[in-house]
Amino acid sequence: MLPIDISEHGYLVDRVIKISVGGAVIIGIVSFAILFYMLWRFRRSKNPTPLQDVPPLLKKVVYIDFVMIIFDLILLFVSTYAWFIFFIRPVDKIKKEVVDKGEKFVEVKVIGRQFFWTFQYPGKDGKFGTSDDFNLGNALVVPENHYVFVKLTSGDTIHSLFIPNVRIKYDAIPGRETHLWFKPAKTGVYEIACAELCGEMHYRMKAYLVVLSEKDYKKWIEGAPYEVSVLKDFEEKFAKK
Amino acid sequence: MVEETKVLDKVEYEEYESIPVSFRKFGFWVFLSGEIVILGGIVASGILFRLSYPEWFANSEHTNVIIASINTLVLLTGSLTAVLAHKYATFHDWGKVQLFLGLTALAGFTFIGLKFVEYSREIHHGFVPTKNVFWMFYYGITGLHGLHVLVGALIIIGVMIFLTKKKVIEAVENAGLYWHFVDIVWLYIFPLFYLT
Amino acid sequence: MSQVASAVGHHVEAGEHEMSFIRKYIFSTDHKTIGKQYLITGVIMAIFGGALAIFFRINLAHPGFLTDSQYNAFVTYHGAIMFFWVAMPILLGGFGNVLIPLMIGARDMAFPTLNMISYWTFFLSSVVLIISFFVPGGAFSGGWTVYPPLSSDPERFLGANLGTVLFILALALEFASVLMGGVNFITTALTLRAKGMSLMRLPIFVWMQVLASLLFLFSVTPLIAGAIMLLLDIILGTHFFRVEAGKIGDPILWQHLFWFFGHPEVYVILFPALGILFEVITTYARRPVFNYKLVVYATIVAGILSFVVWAHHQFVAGINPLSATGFSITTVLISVPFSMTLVAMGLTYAGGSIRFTPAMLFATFAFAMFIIGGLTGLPLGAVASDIYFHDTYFVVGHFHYTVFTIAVLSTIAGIYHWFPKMFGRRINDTFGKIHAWLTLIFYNGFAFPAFFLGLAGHPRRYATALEFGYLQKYQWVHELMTISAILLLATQVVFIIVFFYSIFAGKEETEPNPWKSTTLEWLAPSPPPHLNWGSFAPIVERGPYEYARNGKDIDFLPQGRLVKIEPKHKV
Repeated sequence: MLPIDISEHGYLVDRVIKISVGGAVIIGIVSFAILFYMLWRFRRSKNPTPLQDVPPLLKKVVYIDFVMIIFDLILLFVSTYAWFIFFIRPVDKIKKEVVDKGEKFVEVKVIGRQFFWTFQYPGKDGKFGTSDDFNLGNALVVPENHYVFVKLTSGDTIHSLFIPNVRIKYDAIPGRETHLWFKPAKTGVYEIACAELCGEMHYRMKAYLVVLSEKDYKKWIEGAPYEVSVLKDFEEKFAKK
Repeated sequence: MVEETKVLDKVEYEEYESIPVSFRKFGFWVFLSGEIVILGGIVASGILFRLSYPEWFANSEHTNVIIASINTLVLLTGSLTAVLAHKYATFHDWGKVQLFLGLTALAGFTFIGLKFVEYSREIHHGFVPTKNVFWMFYYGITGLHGLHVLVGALIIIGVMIFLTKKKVIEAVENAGLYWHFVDIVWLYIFPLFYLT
Repeated sequence: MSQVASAVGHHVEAGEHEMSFIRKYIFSTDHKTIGKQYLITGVIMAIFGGALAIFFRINLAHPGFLTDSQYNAFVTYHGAIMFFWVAMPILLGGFGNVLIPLMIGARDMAFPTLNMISYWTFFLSSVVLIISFFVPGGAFSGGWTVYPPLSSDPERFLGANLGTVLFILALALEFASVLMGGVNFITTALTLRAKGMSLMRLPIFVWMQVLASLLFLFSVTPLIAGAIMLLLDIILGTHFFRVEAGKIGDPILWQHLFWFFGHPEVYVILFPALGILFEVITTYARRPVFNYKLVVYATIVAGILSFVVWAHHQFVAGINPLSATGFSITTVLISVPFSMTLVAMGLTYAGGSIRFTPAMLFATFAFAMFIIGGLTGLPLGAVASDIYFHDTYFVVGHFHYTVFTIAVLSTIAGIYHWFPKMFGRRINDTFGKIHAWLTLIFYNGFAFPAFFLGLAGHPRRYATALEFGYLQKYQWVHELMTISAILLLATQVVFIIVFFYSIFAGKEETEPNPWKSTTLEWLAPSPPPHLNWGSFAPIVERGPYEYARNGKDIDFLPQGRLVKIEPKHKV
């Protein structure tokens, strides 16, 4: 049911999802089983006189509280670790580590507006504020296996950048710049949705994450105009029926 | 389902289990605690705001300390007359109660009148709520407080009318309590906005 | 300590002469009449709110049925109406008003005139809300959470200005009404209990109402301040929440103010529903609450904790990630006192002799569905999984399994249970059982698939799924949910018709205690007269759930009995 995860670190989020949902399902099934048993065993036709005290075996059901506490603690532990990796660690520190380890990265600025996304690229020189910067509407083009450092803000109301296939979501807030990151590990074209009600066309604020192989990305970044031809095939494939 | 006829010998009419406070007073304190959170919350945000942005609060030199000081005296006088009203209520001297409640209400309306003059002068000089964040807070907080003073004055008049029909000491006490509350809030607002 | 019932004595004098129709049924100060007024108004608003949901669900199944702004407006009003004009008036204003004085043995609320004002303020708020929906310029369409800058910038969308301002005013009036009611509930329950009714002998229902009122009192007040600030932003153009170059304004401040209230608010509606469930389950299982003191203390702890979990609605909304971690810890841990209360509720069935009346069916379904609701809160409370689930249909599933079970299933259980007491008649049992099963099936048909849509990453408040390739394949799920929702509402509409019919022409029930329940309200006639007890007074001799006392003819001991009053001297 979960969309495929094409990122290197998305498994951390998936792990928390599986534990939390799985644990909820298991505890739920157990609780229901106990409840069904009691409803059947103590229905009036089978038990016309109520017992003076709860049967000792059923009294042990209070241990579910301890199970909940333990489950809660495990869940918190796993969840806090994943959250730490993604959001607690300051992004400049992550960037420094990436540079020190010699790994590759790109930077993008994202601005959400009613009702489209603007992606600002630093261009060939990799620096913002120079003459080779350019913007793309609704297309986030990144190379495979590179860290992507995003600076997110909004031009009007609150939007939310949601990239399901990379397990990333954060609100785009006017007046603030949020720093996020992710690392795609597979090429392809994936959809980006807006996840905070921003007005009438909130449900159509679609952008695409285009992950190119390093070679294709180099070819793309060298040339201008920066049209994203692979997008056309994608849109045809998923055109409204 | 009546099982027997019994005389409740300890009680005159009906007896209730209760916490050791009269229900009118307790009810009023429940209401007041909500008010404390509202006005306290908004004043606290004002204080926090001032601590974070002291330069915006330089605007406070444009507020009118003279009018505000007179208003402080007006409110304190109102508190005094409210206390006296309660004292005379405990002596069942209802004539004096009406007198002092009337003076308290008068204090309230005086406060509003002076506030009106104050706001008009400030707006005339261009200090409108949208000017900057200081004035936003100023009008918001003093406006809300002023509204409470107005409502307080109206409540006092309501109590005065109610007392012509029924003599309930607690109504006077609660009216006084409300007045003291409005007073205390003012004692936080005054230094926040008027004394740089 | 004892209160001389001076206020109530005044009522007795008043009750001795006939009242006009208007004073008896329209501008009544009698808590039972006021309670019924709240109940009926809430039920009517539920039809309106439910119909809105059907319309936007039809749009989800067949896009184009509504315009985009209509969709957003319908979603907004559905949410606001269900929370503030259905759940709160029915659970607090309705059941609270009717039952608190009866359950504690009082003759009326401490401040009956204030009570009447609170109802009519609520009525006014409903009228203002409905007007706001139909004004030119459009209804407010920024979500029931009213987030600025969307809500504070008039140019941003249709429905700004008049619609928005009236919406916020309707909210403010509704808050004022519940605050007034809360003052009454807290004061009455603490100061006007019958002789022998110590605090630890209060029915759990009364505890829950008091705790809910306290939570509301201390949580709504910052939001009232925020609403005033938002109105100033909209009308005067201030920038408390709006972002303008060179000026200080913070949209996130609104979120904090809103959710600081919003989280305790859901417990404000949960607690009374839990109270109803405890009363219903103990009566039809013939067993006491499993651990009365545990339930009371766990609920108090949960209430206090509810003030420190609010930012779990804002994990990815711009708060400091470290404080997000803190809120995640408190949020996940708040499941502990609730699991204690729910285990206690479940074990109340154990050893019982369970009669599956309609009330018991609804209560059991509510309990079971609430377990699902509570457990699905864990993937949302854990901050890392919330990155994925925030603002998706998983949240929609979670809150429907919690709020719907509270606002609808528990309410209906309470209606079936206390209907004879309130109206002196019964609702047909066979109809009730069919109603219960159909509701369960249709409800799950519409709400359970939401979790799967959430796992698929389907965002909320989307007028249609068809714009996105990764969502198109789930369109059939939307169709299934829509059909179930329509059938669910149809069932409830039939119930409402039966409900009103039974008030006037249902089978009469003259027996004051048809369900053989222990609490004090069952000592009064059905329906109780004005001032409840006539020339008798209830005295309380034992705890509220003395069931399974297997005697010769009865298996329970009523909590108290009525004794005749012979006053020493007339008041």
